[in-house]
Amino acid sequence: MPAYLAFGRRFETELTLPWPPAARLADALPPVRVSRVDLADAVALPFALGAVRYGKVNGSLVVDVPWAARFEIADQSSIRYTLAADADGRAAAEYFSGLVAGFWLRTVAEAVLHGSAVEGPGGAWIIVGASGSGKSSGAAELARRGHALMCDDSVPLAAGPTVLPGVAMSRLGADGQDGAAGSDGADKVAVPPSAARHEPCRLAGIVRLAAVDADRPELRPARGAARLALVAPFLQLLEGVDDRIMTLAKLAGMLPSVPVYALDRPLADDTRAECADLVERLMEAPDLEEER
Amino acid sequence: MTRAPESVVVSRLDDELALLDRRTGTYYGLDANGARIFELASKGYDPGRIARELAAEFDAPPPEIERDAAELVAKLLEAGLLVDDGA
Repeated sequence: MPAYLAFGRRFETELTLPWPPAARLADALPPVRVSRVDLADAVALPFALGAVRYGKVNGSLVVDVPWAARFEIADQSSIRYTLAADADGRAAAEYFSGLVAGFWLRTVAEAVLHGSAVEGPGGAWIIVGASGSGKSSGAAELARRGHALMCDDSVPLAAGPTVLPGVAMSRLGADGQDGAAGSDGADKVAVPPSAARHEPCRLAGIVRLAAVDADRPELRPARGAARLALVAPFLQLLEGVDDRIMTLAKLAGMLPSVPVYALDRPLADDTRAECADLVERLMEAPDLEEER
Repeated sequence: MTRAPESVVVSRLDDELALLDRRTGTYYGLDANGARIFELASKGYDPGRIARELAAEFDAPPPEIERDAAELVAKLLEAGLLVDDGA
């Protein structure tokens, strides 16, 4: 059965996913079996994302994409699906690799941040920010400089705290063809899959990037409860799946050991190189700014 | 006697506290001074006793600390981040 490498796991499925194929090296990774079955008749699902409905049924998380497939996430290693009537596997593969994978992440992550992550000398650095803040292009610039790209768009956090790897090819593509831009229209910078990291990595720091009315990039450390206030807006929360407060508490529990910085960059200028310089400086000396 | 209700999750961040309210889905930050007052108030200390406990830590006269503590405890009670069992 074909297998794909994503989130540090080996996904085994007959669906043709837009993910890197799992090489032999991935044999040791924990498998996730995505099996086609005939699921029992659909039950009413309480939550909606557009026309997609979802909810918990008998301990499993069920995601129903009416024109593609119904997925049942039993646990972190087992997913089953039933194709919709008259649907082939293409739409199911498309929704699985995006939306449904985001649901599955909840089985392995304590929290999921909207952002990008790259690996520095002391661990993974997460860049969070609003759409258009430049986090994807900033991460791509760091990847271009040789830092392994771990995640783009969604950054799963686990205990430790550690950053779980995402799917490096999904948006910052290897060939620059498949959605290489961020969803916010950031410039395209191709990242070869060899530059991606596929194993979990210690969380070394978080940078909140924002485009503001300023002349030059400015970096400020956040302290105390301000750390949570800076990062919390970028938690990805799914109604009915994520308990907002418990997820916040888990995030807060990770932050005391992690430096958090606010990096404001000028609105109009392309300052990705300067911003990348600042993040690289933090990678080398995470507490440098705090000691001033 | 005041205490933190079970609906409030308390997270320490350095010497500050984040109070996360499960009932409302909101969170609040307390600076270092507020965090100390909350910790003592959640043990049931009244503002006078809080002031006596903190007089050595804070650079302020006890009456001023007591006034600040009473003000903060009132706000925390109003927000549901503390409850008063009345005992």
